[in-house]
Amino acid sequence: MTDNKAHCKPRPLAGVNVYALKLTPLEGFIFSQLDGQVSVEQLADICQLPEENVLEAIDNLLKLKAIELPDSDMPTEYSRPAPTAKTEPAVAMAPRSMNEQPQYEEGIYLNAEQQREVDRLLALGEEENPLLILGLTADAAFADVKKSYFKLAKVYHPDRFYGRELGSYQEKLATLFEMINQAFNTLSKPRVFELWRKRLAENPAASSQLKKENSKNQLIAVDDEPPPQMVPSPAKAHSSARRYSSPISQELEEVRQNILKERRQRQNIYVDRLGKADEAMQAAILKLRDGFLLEPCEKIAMICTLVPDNPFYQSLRADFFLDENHPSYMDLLQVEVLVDSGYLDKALAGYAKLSKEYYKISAFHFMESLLLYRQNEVVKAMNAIDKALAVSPEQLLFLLHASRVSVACKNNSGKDYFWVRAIALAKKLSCDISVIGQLLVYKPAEQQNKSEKQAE
Amino acid sequence: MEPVIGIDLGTTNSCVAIMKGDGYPKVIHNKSGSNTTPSMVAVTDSGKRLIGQLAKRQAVVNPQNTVYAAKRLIGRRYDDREVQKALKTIPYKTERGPHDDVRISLRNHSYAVPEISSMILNGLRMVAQDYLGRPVTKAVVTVPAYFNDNQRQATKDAGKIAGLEVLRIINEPTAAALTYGFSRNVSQKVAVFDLGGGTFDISILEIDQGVFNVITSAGDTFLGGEDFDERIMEWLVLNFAKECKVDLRTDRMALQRLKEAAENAKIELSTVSEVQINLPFIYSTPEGETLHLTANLSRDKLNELGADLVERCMHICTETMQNAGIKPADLDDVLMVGGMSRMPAIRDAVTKCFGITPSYTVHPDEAVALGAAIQGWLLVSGNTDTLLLDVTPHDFGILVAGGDFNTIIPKDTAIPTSARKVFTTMRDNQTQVRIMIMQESSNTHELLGEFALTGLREAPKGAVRIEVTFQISADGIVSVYARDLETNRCQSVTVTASSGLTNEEIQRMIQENTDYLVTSEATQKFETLHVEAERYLRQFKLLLPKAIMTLRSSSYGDDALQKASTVVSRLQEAIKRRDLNELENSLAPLKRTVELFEKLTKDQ
Ligand SMILES: Nc1ncnc2c1ncn2[C@@H]1O[C@H](COP(=O)(O)OP(=O)(O)OP(=O)(O)O)[C@@H](O)[C@H]1O
Ligand SMILES: [Mg+2]
Repeated sequence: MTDNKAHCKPRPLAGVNVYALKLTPLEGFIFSQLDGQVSVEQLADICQLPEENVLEAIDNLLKLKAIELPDSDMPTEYSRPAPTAKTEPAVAMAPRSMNEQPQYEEGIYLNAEQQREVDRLLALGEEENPLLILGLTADAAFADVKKSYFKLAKVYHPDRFYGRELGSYQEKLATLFEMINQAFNTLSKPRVFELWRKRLAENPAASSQLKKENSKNQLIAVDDEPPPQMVPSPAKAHSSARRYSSPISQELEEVRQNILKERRQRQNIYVDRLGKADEAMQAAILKLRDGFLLEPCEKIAMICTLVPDNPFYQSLRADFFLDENHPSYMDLLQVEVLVDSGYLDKALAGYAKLSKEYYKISAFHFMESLLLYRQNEVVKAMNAIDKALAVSPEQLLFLLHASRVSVACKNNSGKDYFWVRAIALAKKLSCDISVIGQLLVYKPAEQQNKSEKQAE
Repeated sequence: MEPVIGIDLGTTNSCVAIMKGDGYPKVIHNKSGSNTTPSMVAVTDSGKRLIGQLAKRQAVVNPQNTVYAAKRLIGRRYDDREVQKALKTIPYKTERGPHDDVRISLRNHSYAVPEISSMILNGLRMVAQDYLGRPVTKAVVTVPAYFNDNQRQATKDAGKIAGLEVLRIINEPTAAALTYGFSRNVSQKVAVFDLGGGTFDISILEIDQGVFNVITSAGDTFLGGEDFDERIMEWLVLNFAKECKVDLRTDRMALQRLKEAAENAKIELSTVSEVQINLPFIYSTPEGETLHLTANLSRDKLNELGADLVERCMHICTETMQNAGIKPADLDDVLMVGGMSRMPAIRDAVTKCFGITPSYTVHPDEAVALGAAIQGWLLVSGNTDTLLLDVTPHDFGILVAGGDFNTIIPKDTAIPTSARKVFTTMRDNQTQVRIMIMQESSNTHELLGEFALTGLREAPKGAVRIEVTFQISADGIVSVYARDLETNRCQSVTVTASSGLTNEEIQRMIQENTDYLVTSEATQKFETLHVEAERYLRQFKLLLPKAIMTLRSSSYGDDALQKASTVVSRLQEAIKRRDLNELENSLAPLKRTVELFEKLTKDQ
């Protein structure tokens, strides 16, 4: 770092990729100031930093090959690029003029009254007391800020006007909501709010004007019918807000809560009853305990674990799809509880009912079949799985189960038929080595069955 | 009303939902029946694009041409530390793009990251179309709350390339909260803890009278399940290296298998306390010896490997609450969102940090898409009961004298918003200022873009006044204007110009995408007809000997046989040339011939 260097005027190298450089903010800033006209000495002035620091940054920039130090005997015209920016925060914002003459257009989403209200709010301007923009009076409490902001936001948020024809109000509304947001941002600190509130209290003129404007504001809410093209006006918004908290919707909410509560209770019962199940089950129970709303498919998977020798059922559970909002969901839960409590006959009747009512949902037939199989009702189990397959012929799990039931029915060709289809399906669905691998694990068990049968 | 779908474009899994007629949102399941679709894209050797489950399944055999976790790269510069880190472990090829962005090279074609994402969006759009039975062109897409401007813009571009009109970009945790509170008349303060595959977000909202007001948002866009997977991979690789003196990272296929095994192990460890990882034939040495990998990973070990990651999440949570002046006791609920929120260590840490047992009231994998669908519906339906009010998660400003960062829009400002500040020159006769647009997040500054305002009046320093306006749209996208208050000369940028795609590029990609879709549709049609044709040909051959016998004795026999053989050769030719038109034209005569043969041989 020589004196010499302090006097030279570094300039950026052509074609430097600034983003690729690892620069500290200071280096970045200094880099942005270098134009071949400013000397390092001047730069130190500009940055209001000790010269050493600037030199250090310059050295680093040189090392990174971002800048060069021109030869002192080069012609000065060579480094003529326009002098670069010096910036400094200024004192105040320039006010924006908002006193355009209102001009209303045909066919836009706002009616004349609403348009006037927008214009009125805009005319308040940003320099106005933010309380006025939020429609607050000098006796407002801090909590009112948010209330009032929410109310205005519900009317003026751009989401409300998405894709609507707004004409010149497009921009006005955008500006207005930004203004409302700014007013809210300003007033969201209690101390700042208090300051502005006091100021408003000290200026009764503004308050009286505010009262006048407020009555106008109310006029809007009960205004005359809007022209036909205009869909919901603020007036409608208010009425639907009222409907929102009407007794009916409350009742509905209660019913919903009750159903949820009931569902949870049943799940709890479910958890209790399953308490003694094996380890794989424990995992699922853990989930239940933690408040997960188990998906029906997961329940199926859990039931599957009740049926012995099916290590891969769980991994296949995603193949199922049932909607939690489906009316059958509650019934299904009920039946599952029956299964867990050992009331297998009742459960069977439950499944049969489900299968009948929602015959298109193959999973019910499948579950029915599983349960029947467990009870050694193999022929009935075969019938049930047949029904399931009729609805969903491409369900790996069904095919495998069908194959197994066939073995139990001593129907060898059936067994092979389903088995081959299952393998083919697995192959078709994927080159997923793991699934096929698991199928292959399963196969020896089947063969074992076969050899047992032959031994007989 | 045209349907608007909600899309959760995740790092690992994506999800699509729609508002049903009864006023409840619903997740749409894909062809294989699952509600989420892996965010993976692959290109096969025949140039076909595979999306989702299909891409995932063939990843092991085609690792170089299978893209996962593209969201980690979207809207980032090639030289970003995060990108460079990610490039170390990903098996597909990347290169530096013309705007210093990341490009992904698949089968000799270079794709921009938004293009890859657009393929996923397109796949989800198809899922919705299949379900609705009508075309879908409008969507609301979610991004992590902590995504910056470039990442948001790039996500919007992805939508455009897929031919979707993206009505709105909304934040993932906000969407989840919307699902939670929608149509429930609650008045609560909730935190949403969203830890997904690639990103972490924490948002605190208050819900009141149908207004969902975000108080604060924070997060880390490079912290998620993938990082846990990587820790496990590293551990496996290290152990294997110790044992067999082989570095598995050099083998792309091994990497892909390791990744899969690591993720599976991690997921299993959420429910069991120990898993065995088995990867037979993972490597074969030059001498032809085959090596297998077996390892036992316990939950404790996993927790140890990822302890600092969990710590990072919690640190962000505490800091955010402190900054926003919120105490755990103020919160009514902590919603857990994202697949990783199922990990016990995370759950325990959240319980400790917030002092409440977190709740799983919303489905961790589906809540975000559902919320997006609700927002889409809110936009077009004219509903006035529910409203989302979001904030910006970063400080925005410019660099000023002394290299200081001057904030123009502070973090947690309600959006859409704009703010202005007046600046001035610092040297005499300065005719140009350079505006360096910066974003500040957790004390690091990032340059979003820069431009120069030129032609200023030559005047003593401090005399010229320059107004700089920042504007943030409801999508969270930033634009900056600078104006010379004397001459009204104006310069502006939508900040992303520095690393995103240009308009021409986007137009080209839209074209390429439609071209591909058209061709793939034609191919599909050809394949279906081809199958049909083959069936008839088989039947034709089967019936031919008998038919010859019958026809020989009839007067028009030779003629008919002649015609039949022309039809068949025309068809075979069409199949050989893959000529769809010709195939269609010659299939009908063949069908008639076969019918005729059938009749003849039956009569006999
Ligand atoms: N039961 C589980 N236990 C632990 N981790 C899990 C579990 N289930 C899924 N994950 C992990 O969660 C991550 C995927 O979560 P999710 O689908 O929510 O992410 P995403 O939405 O794709 O990503 P992001 O939201 O970050 O963009 C993956 O890393 C996955 O391994
Ligand atoms: Mg997610």
